[in-house]
Amino acid sequence: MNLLDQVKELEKAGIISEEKGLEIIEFLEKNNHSGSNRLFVVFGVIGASLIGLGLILIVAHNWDNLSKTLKTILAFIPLLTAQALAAFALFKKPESQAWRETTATFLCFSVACCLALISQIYNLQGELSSFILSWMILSLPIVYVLRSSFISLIYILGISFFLFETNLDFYNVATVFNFSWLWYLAIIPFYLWICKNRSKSNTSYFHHWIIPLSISLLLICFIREPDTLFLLIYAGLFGSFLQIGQLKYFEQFRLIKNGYFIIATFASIFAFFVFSFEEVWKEIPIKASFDMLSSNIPVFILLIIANGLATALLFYNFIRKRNTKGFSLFPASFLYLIFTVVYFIGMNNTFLATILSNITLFIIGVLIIMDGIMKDHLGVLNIGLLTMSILICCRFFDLEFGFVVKGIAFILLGISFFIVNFIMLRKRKNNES
Amino acid sequence: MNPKVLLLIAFIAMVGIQLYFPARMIWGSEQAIKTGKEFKFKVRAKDPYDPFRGKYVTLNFFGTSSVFEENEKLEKGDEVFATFKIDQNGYAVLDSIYINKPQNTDTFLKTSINSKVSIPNNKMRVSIALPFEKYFLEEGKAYAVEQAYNDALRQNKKGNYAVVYLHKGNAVMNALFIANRPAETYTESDE
Repeated sequence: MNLLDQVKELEKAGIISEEKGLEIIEFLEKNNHSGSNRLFVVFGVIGASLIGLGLILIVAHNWDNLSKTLKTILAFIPLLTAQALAAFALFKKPESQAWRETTATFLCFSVACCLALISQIYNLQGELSSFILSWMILSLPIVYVLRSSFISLIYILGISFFLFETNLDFYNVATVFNFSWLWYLAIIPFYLWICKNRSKSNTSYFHHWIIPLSISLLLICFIREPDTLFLLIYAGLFGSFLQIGQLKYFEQFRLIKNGYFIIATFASIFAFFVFSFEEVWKEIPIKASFDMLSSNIPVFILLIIANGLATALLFYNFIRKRNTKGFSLFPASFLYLIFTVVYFIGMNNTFLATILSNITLFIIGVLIIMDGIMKDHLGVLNIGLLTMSILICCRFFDLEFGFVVKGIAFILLGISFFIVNFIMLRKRKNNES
Repeated sequence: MNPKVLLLIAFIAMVGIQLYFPARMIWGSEQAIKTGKEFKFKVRAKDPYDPFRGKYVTLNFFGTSSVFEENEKLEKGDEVFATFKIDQNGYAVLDSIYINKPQNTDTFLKTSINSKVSIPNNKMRVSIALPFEKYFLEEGKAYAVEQAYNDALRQNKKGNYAVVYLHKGNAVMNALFIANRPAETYTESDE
């Protein structure tokens, strides 16, 4: 029985009045319409993407039999058509997001098609990265004029590829600090706009994942051998992401939609797992990197920015949350500070640094489990359990225990997983009833 | 200002930029062919695939290195301006390299140093990168051209070169000849 029939049943039974029933039906119809509208957007974007990709494949065929002039005219046709459709969407269907996204997608791929065809017709050379840059620069206005979230995602991916490709050079330090990074910043105003105006859309969730992932990867471009100070920069970066993920804005979403929080938590905990092995501390040249710091001003600046931002955000969240009921900052919030301390200890005493890493992981695992229980959040609880499990697994490979002992420990671990989850679910059922 | 008018201006600007970019590429290429000087660069050919821009042959060229007086300021990857001369066989060979744009000629190429090796008598052997390595062809023809080139090499046939126009730092490759025959005339049946 569908919802509309159920409403009519409730009306007949006298549980709701006819007027209320009409209001409910109107509301349901409005939601259905926006649901099908959303579906149309998705199919429209997929359809436009396929058309765009098909056009690009046609490019790959080559047109030797046509004159250069005719080829040039044909090269502009997809672009002109896409621009005409975009104008129609913008001025005749301004309220329809489906039209905007579809025509924006078509226009974006038509730009690529035109550039590729012209390059091919006139044998114009260039690396793939410069082609991607040209394409992205010409797609950036589409993001702002048509307010297309999908093209914004394409832009972030494209520009990240360009920046990674052109700046990843392990030998030449100076060239990495250039103005090309500003192209990445060009999308931030639109990102902030969709955070405010399309906060519940799926594309905004994708942005909350893609932006922290791309920034994390792009930071690799600044790493130089044998520099280990980047460990501290990454610690600060993930500390910042974790605090961004705990801002009030993200409290309205489910955890899975908070890319900042999940990426930062897993990355921070993963780093500690890696450094829970003494061999790792012995391999990395911490002292040599620290000696290099005075001659490596850009790295020093990045270090200050990353850790300064993390600390400022931590402070901000602390001040904001301390007066709220059930206040707690996520336990992993302090990992970047702890890592910095352990890093400097590791410069002189690798054994102590290893012990401290293991203790930190143990405490963080316990605190996350407690946090999950307190907040009645299965996801957080299981992150804590997973942390403890992996810690025990790592130490079991590290230390020498018999198979029987290990086997019993794993069984007990598995049982505790089930018990804790069972208790949580039971508690939730009791609360609901 | 009315938001709709602003939107219209923004849309027109967007369309303008999107049409200007490819149009400028075309104009630059046509200008180089019209006003630039023609050179024949002797080639070697291979056959890979660019998923965005179609089938092409990768070209390596002779005559891209030469010996000069040692200059310690120059390193691999540095941007330079190169001029070319014609050898006794009619092919282009590297003549001079300049750190700044040459003032006495428009026929030069903006490029970078591929390799630099110091040699005795205070000299250096410098090789430059040529920014025209790909020649786009129809599928099937690219492979036929590569095969034709290999045959020409085996049979010691001459006339394997690319026609390139140089003008104010830009280079436009206009044609590719294998055994004195345009690459476009080779087909799968020639393999």
